[in-house]
Order: sequence, then structure tokens, then C-alpha cells
Amino acid sequence: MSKEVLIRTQDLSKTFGTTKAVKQVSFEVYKGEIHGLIGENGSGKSTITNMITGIHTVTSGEMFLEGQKYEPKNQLDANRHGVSIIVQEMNTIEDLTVAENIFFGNEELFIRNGVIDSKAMNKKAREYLDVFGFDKINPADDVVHYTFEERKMIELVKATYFNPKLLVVDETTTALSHDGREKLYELIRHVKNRGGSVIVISHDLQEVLELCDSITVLRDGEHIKSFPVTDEITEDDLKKHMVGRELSGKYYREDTHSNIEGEVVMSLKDVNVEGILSNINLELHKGEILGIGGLTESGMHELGKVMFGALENQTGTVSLPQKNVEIGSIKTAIASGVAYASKNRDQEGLMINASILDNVCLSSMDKLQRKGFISPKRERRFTNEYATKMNVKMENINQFVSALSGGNKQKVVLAKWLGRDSDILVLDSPTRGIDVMVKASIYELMQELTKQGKSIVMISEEILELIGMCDRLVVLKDGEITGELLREEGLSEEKIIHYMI
Amino acid sequence: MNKKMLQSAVPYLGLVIVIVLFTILTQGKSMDGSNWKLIIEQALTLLICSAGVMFVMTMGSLDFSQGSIVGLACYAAAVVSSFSIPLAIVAAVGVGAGIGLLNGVMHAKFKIQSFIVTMCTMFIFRGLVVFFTSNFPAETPYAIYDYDNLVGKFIVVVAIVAAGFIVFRFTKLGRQVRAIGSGEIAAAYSGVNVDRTKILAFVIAGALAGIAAFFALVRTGSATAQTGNLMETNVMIALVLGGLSVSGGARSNYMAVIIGAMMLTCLTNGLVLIGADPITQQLIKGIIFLLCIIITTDRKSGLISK
Repeated sequence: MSKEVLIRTQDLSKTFGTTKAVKQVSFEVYKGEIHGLIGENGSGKSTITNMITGIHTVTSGEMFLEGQKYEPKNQLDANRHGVSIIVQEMNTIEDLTVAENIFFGNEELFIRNGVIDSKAMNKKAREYLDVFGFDKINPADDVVHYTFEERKMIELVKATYFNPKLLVVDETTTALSHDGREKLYELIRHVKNRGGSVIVISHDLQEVLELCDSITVLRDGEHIKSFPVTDEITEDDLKKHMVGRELSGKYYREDTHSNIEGEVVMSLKDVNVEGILSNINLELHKGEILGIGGLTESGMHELGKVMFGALENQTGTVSLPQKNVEIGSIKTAIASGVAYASKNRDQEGLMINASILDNVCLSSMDKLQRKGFISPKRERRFTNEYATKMNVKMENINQFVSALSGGNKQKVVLAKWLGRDSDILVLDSPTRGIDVMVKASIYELMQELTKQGKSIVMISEEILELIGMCDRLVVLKDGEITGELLREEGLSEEKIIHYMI
Repeated sequence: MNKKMLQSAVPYLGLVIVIVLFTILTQGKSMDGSNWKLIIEQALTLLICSAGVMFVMTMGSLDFSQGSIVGLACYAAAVVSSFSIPLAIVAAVGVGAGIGLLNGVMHAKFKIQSFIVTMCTMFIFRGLVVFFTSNFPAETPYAIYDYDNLVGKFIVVVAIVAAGFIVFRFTKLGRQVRAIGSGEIAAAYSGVNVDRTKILAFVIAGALAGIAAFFALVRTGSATAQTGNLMETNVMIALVLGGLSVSGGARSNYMAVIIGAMMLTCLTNGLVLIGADPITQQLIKGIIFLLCIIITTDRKSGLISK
């Protein structure tokens, strides 16, 4: 195979304020290859691809696409050069239809006599959707009717229908279910088979090894190494490059004991949410890690919200027997020691455009005030204490959360709830989009917390982490509990998937 | 860090520039003792209203009904003042708080955008003011002018602004309005009672507009169809001049109330002194307002004001 360079960066750098996110990175992606971009949180992966796809401007350095100097002005401009991206977060416009989203920015393709011919647009969208077998998605519907996963699929079509030369897939798989991933892999290979190249950013190293032809490792914004994937390369090799030193083997819990002997701290009775959950009866014990698994649409994410009093249209009760409290609102939940880390971190978990201090202190106002007044000094001490405990990588506590990487954002969320001294932590997809090191520290924290007698509900689409961490695992399917498994030696993925589908 | 400091210094610099500019243009007349007295007199009602609207705008909401609140509360106070002047104060604050409550409930509970709600209440209550003042003119006792004491009024305003500052900076309410402006959903998920906080902020803004209405009454001795006219725009211009972003949020600084109200008053006063006619004044204010919004809007975060 002759190797022809598709895109090359030369001393590419990006600075945000005083933070150097990317430092003089030079690397190249060949035509027709799948190129993995890996590194810890904040290593600059997304920043680089955001420059390549025109989302961020370049601070210094150059890019060359097929040998020509390449300076995308924005995302649409990058599209015109044949470069597109699928981002980690939701990127569809709610008020537009599926077809309008797919052809957003390229509506001129369908203009007849000065107006957009929606019929032609829908027809074309139908064709593209059919190519990938998304027959359940109707081009004329508003995207708002579709789930997160379906919208991701719509984005896939949007990013690839014009046969891009380069497709960037930024940390998309973690948000997807098994089926969704398979679709995505199929699509990535489809782009490759047509001679295009794909840059994949992922924290799932196994996935990277299986999918990619070559890999580039970044650390702290610097280029560490680029190499082709061979059979000899293992996950541990990748981790070593990412971290810069040997990792200890410890990752998940090492014991196989199922600890559910503690008294019941939370009890759900006949919980129903129309069309989402039916007849949920569930108990959480003191010191337990209760796993909740299922497909994205199984209702497991809503179940987490129910436990936090965040859904309004439910029937049945969620109570804390020891405290004799029934949870009916977020306020009572927080006041009675329940914490919630949302899957939707940037909207529900954090105020992105506010400081670390603002975020960490908000839920603990009652603790921080004396006689109705809040002392800024006490707030600073409080934030410093918990941000340090969580090891948040930051300039200072006044830094805006929007400037932090995914893992550090999650640490801020956890710092907020640790500061509240919550007894029950409902963690929805706590490691979503988070790298190995931070993941390990979150797993470690979970174990430490249960040792202190706190209870954790871990909702996750990652079966391996559920097996690795939970005392007990409840599987949901179509809003109902279909299986309950205890922690034991040799609990297999297949057994759990069996209950999921 | 330096860039941030520079950005927060812009409103202060603006105030200095306005003062220096008009000192030069009026050959020192604007620095006259009697003119300063006038400026302070004119700034008082603006300061009171801004102190309340600050809470509303920090949440990313707007209050277009301020002028109409001042108008109706002033009329109510005028009617009641013929029985008892202290009761007139209660009436003014009561009417203001009542309209604020209506605004807040419509916005928070019925989920209507604040600018739509307050635009409606602006028209409704301005209509009522025009109707009442032309059909049932209120007579105020002469004793009302006893309350028109600059020192007394000044002390009241300082107390209000200081109290606002303390609530904004050092209490839960202040933190919560900022949290709502930074991210309403995240605030709710952190235990902030969003609806209650929103309603409370509008009630505060309304009640303070009621006090401003009483000030207007003691100054002129009467309530007319025009009382409080354009107060809402002046308040918004003042706060934005003071460095407040129209989308509110975490960067909101209470000093915007003082700096903004002083800057706008000095600007208006200066324009009058150099003989600009009202139309030119409005034109200039409009341009400055637009420029300020362009400067203060946080384009990076991609937030659009509500």
C-alpha cells in the first residue's frame, strides 16, 4: 500500500488564556487509514481535532491537506474541504427536522425557485438514512422526538453523506449502546473503504486497538509518539505512553464479596413513570454499590433522576427509611443527603459558564452561611478543600468550568457532592468520556466512600465497569427490572447482556 | 488574569471619560457644585430601580415594566397621600411588589419569557396610569414636599444600594440569582428553587420601583400619565453601561448599579448642558447602549440572552 499523506500538521499550537492546550504538535494522517488519537484528559486531543475541523482557530503552526495549505475558517468551511466531525456532546438543532439537520448549511442543494424544496430534501435524507439502515428515523420529524442515540446516528449521516476525505469521531462511542457502536464502526469502515481517512478519539483502548491502523499518543498537549498498530501492541503499552510511567494493575475492585448486608437506606416502591418505567421496586443498602445496567433507552437514566426527585410525573414512592423521608423534589433529596451526578454533565451537572467555586458551593449554601450571610472566605476554603481532595487540575478556583477537560469537570461535580457530605450518591455514567487515570481515581473514590458507610448507585452503559465495581447489579429493559445479579467470581458480560435484550 | 482585570475596569474608565469629556465640553460648568447636586438628585430614582433590576438581569431575565410600575405606584401613593403620607409609601411599595409578583409568577410558573411578560405588564399598567390620571386626577397635600429633602433621600438610597450589595454578595439569594443566570438547569439540579428565586427577584425589583415612585411623587407633587416613562430603558442602559451582561450570569458585578446609574446620569446631564435636544440625546444613548451590548455580550460561550 502506497502511503499518501492526507493531512499534516506542522508545529500546531493552541492557547486558551494562559493555558497552552496544544504545544507544537506535528503529525500526519495517511489516506485510507483509521488513525487513533489517544491521551489523558486535557492532553489536547479534542483541541487538535477542533482546529482541524474549523471549530477552534489555530494559535500558531500550520496544517496541510493533500499538500495544500489548509486554513478552515469554520466548520462549514472545513466541510467544503471534505473534513467533518462527530462530537462528543449533542450537536443537533432541536427545532429543525432530521433532514434539515442533515443538510444544515447546505440547503442550497435543494433550492427551487428561491425556496427550499422540503420534499426533495426529505427524499435525499431518506436515501442516506437507508444506506446505514436507519429505517426507524423519519426525515420529516423534528429531531426533538428522537433519543440521544438516534440523534447521534443523525449526526453520523450529516457528517458523512458528502463522502468526506477526513472524518473525525471525537469520543462518541462511550455515549452509545452496543448497537449504536456497531453502526458507528460500520460507518467508520465505510469511510475508509471509500478511500477516506478517519481520526478516532477514544478512551476505550481496546476499541482503538481493534479499529485503528495507526495511533498517535498525546500527553499534556505534546506529541509523544505515532506508530502503526501491530499485534504486539497491548493496552498496557498504550497506557504507558499516555501516562509516561508504568501503571499498577489495580483498576476495578479486587474483592469478589457482595456486600449487601447493610440496612436499607433507600427504598423504591411501585415506581411508575408513564412510558418509561413500570413497577420498579428496589432497595439500596448501606455501604453498597448498586449497579444499574441496560440499553440507553431502558429507562435506567430516568431511574437515577427518580431517586434524586428530579422527575415530576412519577407515581409510587422513593423513601429513605432511616430518615423517614419521602423524596419528592430535588430539594428534599439534597437536604436528606442524596447526591446526583448526571450523564448530561454540561447541562445538569455543572454551570459551565461559572467558576469552580460557584459550582462547588452552590449545593452547600446552607452549610456555608452563618446567620443568613455567606462568607467568601469560607467559600474559598471549602472549594479549595474539596477541589484539592478531588485533585482537580486547574489554574485556581476562580477558573471557569468551561475551560476544564471532561474528567476535571466530573471531578468538580464530585467535589460538589463530597462537600455536601452526601450519604447516597447516584452516579449516572460517572466515567463517560473520561480517561484511564481519572477513571481509576473515580473507582478508587467509590470504594473509599463505601468504606465510610456511604451508598452508591452506579448507572452505566459500560457492562465491564458494572461487573468490576458493583455489589449487586440490576438490569433494566423497556422500563422494567429483568434481572438482578450479585457480585461473584466469573460474572460474565454475556449473562448481563442476556437480560438487557 | 490581566485581561479580566482590564475588562472589569472598563466601566470605571467609562465613567471617568464621561465626566472628563463633559467637563471639557462645558468648560468646567458640569463640575459646578450646584450641577453635582442636580446630578445626584437625578440619579436617585435610577439607582433605586437599578438596585432591584440588577437581581432580575443577573438571572438573564429582563424587566420592561419598571416605568409602568413607577407610574402606577406613584398614582396609588398620590391617592393615598391625602389620607396619610406614611401609608402612601406602603401603597407605592405594595403596588410595586404586587406587579413584581405578577411578573415573577407569569415568568416562572407559566414559563413565559420574561421580556414578553414584562412587555405586556408594561402596556397594561401604563394604560391604567393614563386612564386614572386623566379621569381621576389625584390631589396631594402640600405636606408631601416636606419629604423632598435631598439629604434624607440620599441616605435612603445609600441604604437601599448598600443593602442590595450585601444581599447580592453575601447571601444565598445573591448566589442563587447568579446560578440561574449561569445555568438554570444545573442550578435546579443543585437544589436551587428556581421558580421561587425568580419570583422573589421580580418582587424585589417591583417593590424598589415602588420606592422610586414615592421619590418621584415628593419631587413633583403629582402623578401624571408620563410619570416613570422610559424608566425601564434607562435602568437597562445604566446596568449595561455599568458592565452587566444582558445575559447575566456568573460575571455579574453589583458595582454595575452604582457605576451605571452615575454614568448614565452624567451623560444625560452633560448632553443637556451642551444643549443637545431630547431627540439627539436619545440617539446618542441608543448608540452607546448598542456599543455596550456589543462589548459585554459573551459571544464565546454561545449564550443568547433570554
